[in-house]
Amino acid sequence: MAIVEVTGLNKEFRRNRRHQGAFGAVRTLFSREYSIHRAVQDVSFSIEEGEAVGYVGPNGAGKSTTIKMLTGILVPTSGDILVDGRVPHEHRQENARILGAVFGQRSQLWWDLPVIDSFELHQHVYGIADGDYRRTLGFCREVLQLDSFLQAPVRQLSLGQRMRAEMAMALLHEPKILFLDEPTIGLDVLAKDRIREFLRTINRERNVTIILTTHDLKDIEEICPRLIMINQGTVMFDNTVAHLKSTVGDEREIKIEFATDPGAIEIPAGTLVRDAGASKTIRFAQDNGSVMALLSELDGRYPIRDVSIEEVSIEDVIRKLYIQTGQNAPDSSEIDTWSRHRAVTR
Amino acid sequence: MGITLFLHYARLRLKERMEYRAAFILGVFAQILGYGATYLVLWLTLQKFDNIGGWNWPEIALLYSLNVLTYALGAAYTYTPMTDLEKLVQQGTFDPILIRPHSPFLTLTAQMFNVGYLAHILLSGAILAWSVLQLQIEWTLLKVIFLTLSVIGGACLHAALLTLIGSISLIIVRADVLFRFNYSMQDFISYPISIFGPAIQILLTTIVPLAFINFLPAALILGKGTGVIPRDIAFITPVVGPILMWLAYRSFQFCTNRYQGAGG
Repeated sequence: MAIVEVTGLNKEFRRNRRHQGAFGAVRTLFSREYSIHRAVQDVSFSIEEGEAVGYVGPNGAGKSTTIKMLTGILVPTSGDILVDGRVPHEHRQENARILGAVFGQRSQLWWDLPVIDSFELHQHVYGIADGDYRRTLGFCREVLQLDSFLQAPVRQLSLGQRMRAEMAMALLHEPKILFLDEPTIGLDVLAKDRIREFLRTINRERNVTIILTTHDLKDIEEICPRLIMINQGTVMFDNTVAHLKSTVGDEREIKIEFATDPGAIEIPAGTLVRDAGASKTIRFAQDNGSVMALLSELDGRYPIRDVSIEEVSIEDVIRKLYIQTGQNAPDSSEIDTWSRHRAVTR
Repeated sequence: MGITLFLHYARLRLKERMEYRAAFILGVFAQILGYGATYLVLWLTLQKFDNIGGWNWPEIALLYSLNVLTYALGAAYTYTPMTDLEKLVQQGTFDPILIRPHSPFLTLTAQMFNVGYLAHILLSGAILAWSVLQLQIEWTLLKVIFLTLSVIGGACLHAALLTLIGSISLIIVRADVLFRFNYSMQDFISYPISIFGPAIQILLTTIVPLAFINFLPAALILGKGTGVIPRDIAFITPVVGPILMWLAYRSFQFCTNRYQGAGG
């Protein structure tokens, strides 16, 4: 049985209409006009126990709104959600015991107290038996390497350390599902790697279902075999990461700085997209061999000073998906949430 | 949520405050000075007029101390969470509270318990004890039980008012006007409310039943007149607070559910 079952989910937000002009403020006060913003529209998916799913989309796409409905924080406007067989917003307190949540930009730790104090309180809030608590904490301490800062006040931790502590706390009551809202935001490469490694481990070894939102496609590649992409509130892709790549083509842009302007060069597997003399940008498809092979081939002929590989952004992938499905790609101004508003008067 | 968990939260809050010990001690002194000034004004007034509405200085001291003490007990749990609620909602820190295994109200009040009310308790407790000794009341077991229950009821009443306003702030977002209104109303009960007009006396026993916090129980114990209000109504003091607290708790739950529907 699926652990998360979402069918025909909708969420609308109402906003009072503000009036412009001389008496705008007064009119705003007395008017019953409002506009409806459809944050999530007819979203359906189901997630099996032990899956790791990436939930991605641009800002304002409805990711956080969906997560809030799955955790029971928000009530859907219409549609059904079942998490572990229960409707989340009706069984918030029971569901709390089987889910863990990490919000990247909001700490759940006690800012001025040692990390261990937050953990011990969590043990009592969730009524975790001493033995279980010690075992889970031991596991987290080892895998997340918490020992060096377990006694330090949270305010003194680096962002990477704080995120590791947040992860450990979310796992102490051994939840079946872990929700992560942008867990790697603002972290350096090393810290990101640690977090990803940990999430992979708990997913594979402890069979914890993971649902994470992110802006970093690398998070998805390394943790989640499956990807659900939403834009403007609707699901536009739900399949494996491998499938996404074969659909949109796994193209990357490589910017190469040559020691001197090599003039016209011969590129074995790729096309030249920008040429500024000594600095050239090459678009390269991954199916034509590895980047390293291309580079070593070029390096043999022309001295290379520097290379940078542009990461594929989620916005790019979405734009490509739009083109492939024959829809018009939205330009960035259209992603603005205001354009989705439909005025209603009552 | 059990009592041990509540105490665990309180212990952490205390430990947290002790991280900034100097600020904490300074804060306690500032509060004692602030409330001390009000006591001083009441004392000076009574030096000049001998009594206010038939209440002498120790009686007024008892009346006012009962208000401050019950306020401190109620506000220690509700003041900080309720006045900060709109900020919590804006910052998104209210959301994690909704996914804890206890009711949001209990989680919030335990998590934001304010140790700073120690100042009020020390000051008003000491003056209350002094005034009781001065007054030579004939204590019976029943009176002791009544006073104890009145203190608990008064604490509930103060907490209920703050909680009601807090839950309204979940819906209308800016509720600081209501908090200010609540504090201006409290100025009335620094004095025996029998000195005010009948309209205010009735208002303070019915719509905003602040009279049950100190005036009615004190009048009953001291055998004082209660203006247009029948004094026997004071006997229900111990239940008024808990009933209002229960209503406030329900309204908080209702407003939380509405918040969840509207999404802030």
